[in-house]
Amino acid sequence: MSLYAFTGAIETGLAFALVALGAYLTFKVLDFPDLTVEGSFPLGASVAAKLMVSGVDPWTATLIATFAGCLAGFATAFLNLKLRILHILAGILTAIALYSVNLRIMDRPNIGLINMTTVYTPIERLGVPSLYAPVVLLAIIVVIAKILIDLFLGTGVGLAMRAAGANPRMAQANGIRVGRMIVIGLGIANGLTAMSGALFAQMLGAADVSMGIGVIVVALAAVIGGTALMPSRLVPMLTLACVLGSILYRIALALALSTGAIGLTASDVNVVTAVLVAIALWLPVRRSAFVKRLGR
Amino acid sequence: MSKTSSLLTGAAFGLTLAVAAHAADVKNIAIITMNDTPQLLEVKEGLMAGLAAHGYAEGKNLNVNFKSAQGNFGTAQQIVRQFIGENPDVIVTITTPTSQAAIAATKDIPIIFTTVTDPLKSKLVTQEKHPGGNASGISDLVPTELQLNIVKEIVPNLKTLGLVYDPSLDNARSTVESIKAIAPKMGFAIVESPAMGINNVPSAGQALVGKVDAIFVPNDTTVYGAFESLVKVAQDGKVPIFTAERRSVQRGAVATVGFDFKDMGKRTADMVDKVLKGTKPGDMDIQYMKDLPNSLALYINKDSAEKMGVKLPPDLLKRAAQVF
Amino acid sequence: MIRVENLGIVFNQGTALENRALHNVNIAIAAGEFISVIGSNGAGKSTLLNLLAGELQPGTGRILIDDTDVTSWPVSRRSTILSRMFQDPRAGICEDMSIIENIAIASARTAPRGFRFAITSEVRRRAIDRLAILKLGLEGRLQDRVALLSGGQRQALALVMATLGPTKVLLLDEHTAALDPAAAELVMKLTDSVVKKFGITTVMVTHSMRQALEFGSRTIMLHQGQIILDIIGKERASMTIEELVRLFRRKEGTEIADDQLLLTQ
Repeated sequence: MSLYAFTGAIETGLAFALVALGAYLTFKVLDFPDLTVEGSFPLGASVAAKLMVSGVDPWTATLIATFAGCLAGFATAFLNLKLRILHILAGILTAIALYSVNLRIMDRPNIGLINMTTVYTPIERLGVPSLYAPVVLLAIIVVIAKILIDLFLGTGVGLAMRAAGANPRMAQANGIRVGRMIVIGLGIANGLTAMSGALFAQMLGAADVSMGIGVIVVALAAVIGGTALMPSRLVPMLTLACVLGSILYRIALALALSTGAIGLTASDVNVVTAVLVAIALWLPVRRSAFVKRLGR
Repeated sequence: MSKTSSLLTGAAFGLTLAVAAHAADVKNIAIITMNDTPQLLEVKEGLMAGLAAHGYAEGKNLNVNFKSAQGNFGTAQQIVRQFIGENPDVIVTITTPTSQAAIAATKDIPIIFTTVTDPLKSKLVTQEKHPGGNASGISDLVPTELQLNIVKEIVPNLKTLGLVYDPSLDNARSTVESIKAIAPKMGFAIVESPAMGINNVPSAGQALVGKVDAIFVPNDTTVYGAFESLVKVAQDGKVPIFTAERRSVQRGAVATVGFDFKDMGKRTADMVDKVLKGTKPGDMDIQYMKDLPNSLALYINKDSAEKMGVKLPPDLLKRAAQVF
Repeated sequence: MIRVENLGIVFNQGTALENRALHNVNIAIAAGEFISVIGSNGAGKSTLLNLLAGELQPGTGRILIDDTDVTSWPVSRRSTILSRMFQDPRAGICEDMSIIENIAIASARTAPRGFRFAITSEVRRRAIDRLAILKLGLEGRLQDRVALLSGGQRQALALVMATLGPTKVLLLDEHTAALDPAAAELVMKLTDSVVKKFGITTVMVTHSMRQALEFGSRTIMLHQGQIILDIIGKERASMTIEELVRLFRRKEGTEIADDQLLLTQ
C-alpha cells in the first residue's frame, strides 16, 4: 500500500469517525437503532455545498449543515415519540424524505466543489502539503468531538441519557424523561453525521444525493469492530474504540484494494466488511477462551 | 579492465538500458467507474478495444487497473487515493462523481473523463477550449433537438411527451432540463415520471401510460438497468419509447439518433492515446460525442415499433444506419 | 399526605377478559406512616402500586399527594416527588454502570439535570455516608459495576438510591420477594431502619403476611379489587396470621385460596 493510499485511509477514516461517534450515541448509549444517517449525511453535504456555491464561507456553511443534521434527528425523534412509529422505521422514513429534500436543496443531484475554498484551504496555505491537510484538520475536529462527547456523558444530562438507554424504566423512576433524552441524543448524533457529510464533500470535491448509501453499515462496522477489539466499560475508551474502528476499517479496505494478487476487487467491499466485523466479534471470544486455558 | 569484465560490464549496461527502455515503453492506466452497470462496462470495453487498435496490448506494453466503487462514495475516494499512490500514466474516470473525486485529489496525474454529461456545470473544467489543468475528456451530452425531431417524425401528432429517469443521476437530469427547455417551441408538453431506483422503473412507466403520446428516456444507468421491463410496459400500453443511444434501441426502444457507448469508449481511447504519447490534457479541448465525426446515427427497432403500435414512415427506414 | 379517592381501573374493558382490577378504593395515608398492602394473586395490590407510581392511569378516581392532584402526572414527573423499589433486583439499577454512577443518577431525581459534572465530591461524600449504613462494604467499591453485586446487595443499593433525596412516599413493590431468605431478611431490616431513621412515608406491597404484620404501623388487605381489611394500632399489634385468616373468612365467606400468601415466612 502506498503512502497516498494509507493517508487516504486515515483521512476517510477520520471523516467517517464522526458518523461512528454518532452511531455510538444512538445504537449503543440510547439503544435506539437510528437509520436517519443515510439521509443526514448527504443532507450535511447538500446544505454545505449549496451555501458554498452561493458565496457563504466554508466554516459557516459546515456549521449550518451541522444544525440541519440536528433537525433531521429531531424529525426522527418526533416520528418515534409523538406518532409512536418504531425506531428503526422512524429513521428510515426520515432518511427517505431527506432524499427528496436534498434534491430540492441542491436543485440538482450533484454540486461540484472543485477549486473552491474549503475548510482545508487555510491549512494548505499554512504550508501543510495538500496530501496531509485534511488529515490534520479532521484529526483536530475528531479529537475535539470525542472529548466533548466523553465530557457530556459524565454530566447530569449525559448520565441520564445513558440510563435512558440502559434501563428506561429505572430512568423514569428517577425522574428522567426518556423522550427528551431521545430527542437530545438523536439531535447530537445526526448533527455529527451532517458535519461529517459536509467535511467529506469538501474533501471529495462534490456533494451528491447518493452519498448516503452504505454509510450506516460503515459506521456500524467501525462501532462494532472497534468496541469488540477494545472492550471496556469506560466511556472514553469506547469512543476511542469507535474512532480507531473507523480508521482501521478504512486501512483494512485499502489493503484489500491494493492486493490485487488475492483477486479482490472493489466489488467485494461488502463481503470484506462483513468478514472484518465477524472477525472483530469472534476475537474477544477467542481471547477469553485462550486466557481460560492459560489460567488452568 | 580485462576483456571479459569489460564485456560483462557492457552487457550489463546494455541489459539495464534495454530493461529501462522496455519499462519506459510499458504504460500504466487506471480506470475507475462509479457503478458497473452494463452501459458503463460498454464504455470500458470500447476503451480497451480502442487502445488495442492504437497498438497497446494488455500485459505487453499496457498495464490496466480497473476498479468499480460499487456506488459507494467512501470507496471511490479510497480508490482514487490508491490510484494516485500507484502513479499511473493516466487515470480514466467514468461518470461524474468519480471524475470530481479524481480532479479534486490530484493536479499532477493526467485525467481523462468520459460519460460525463456536463463537464462545466460539474466543475470538472473551467472552460471547454484548452481547459488547462490536468483534466479533459468526452461528454455524452445528448443532442436533444435532433432526438426530439425523430420523435416528432415518427409520432407526428405528439402533444405530450413523458420522461422516465432517475433524478439522482446528474447526467439524466441535465438532459431532462435541456428537453424541458426546447419542448415548448417544438409544440408539446412534458410529463416527468421519476424512478428512484431500479425497482421503480416499471411503475414509473406505468404511470405514463394513457397520459402521454410517447416516452423518452435519457442516458440513465438506473433505467437502463431495468430497460426490458419498461419496454414491456410500453408495448402493453402501446406507448412508443425513444432513447438517446444505440444499445437501448436494440433492446426495444423504437428509434434514436444517437451514439453508441462502446463507440464513445473508443473515442475516449483516442484521447488517452494522445496523453500517453505526451499531450497534456489541459491542451485538449473538451469533446462532445455528438459533435464527433460519424458518431451519430439513426437506429430503428422495427419489431418493437410494431408492438408499440407505431407506424414507421417508409423513407425513415431507408435512412437508418441499422434496423433491428 | 397521600389520599386515594374512589380509585378504579378496568383492564380489557368490553372483552371476554374484562377485569375490574380495582374498584372504589379510598385510602388516606398520613405522613410518616408505614403501611403494608397484602392480598392474594389478582387482588389488585400491584395494580394499586402501579397507579400510585404513575405507570397506570385510573379509569375513575384520583390520587392526591400533599393535596396536589397528581393523577395525570407521567411516571417521570411523579418520580420527582416519590421513589420506588422494584421486585427484580436488575430493574432498579443500571447494571453496566458503576455504583457511584447509579447513585449520581438517583441524586438528581428531584432536581432538573444540567450540564455540570454529575459525580461531584459532594455526591461522592453522600454516597459513602449512606452506603456505610448498610454495612455491606459497598462504600469502598464505588467504581465497581453493579453487575458484580449479588441480588441482595443490589436491592440494598436500590434502597439507598430511593431514599437519597427528599421523597414524599417510598413505594416498595415486593422488593424482597426475589431474594433468598438471608438476603431478604437483611434487606427488610435495612429498609425498616432507613425508613424509621428518615421518617419516610412508605407503602409496601408484600406477598408475605408475616412481613406485612411484622413491619410498619398499618396493614391493608385487598381482595378482588377492594379493600376488605384495614388494621392499625393495638388491634394490629396483637394480630397473628391465624387471626388474620379467620378475619378474612368471616368477611368474605370464603377461604384464602393463595397458599403462597399463607405460607411465606
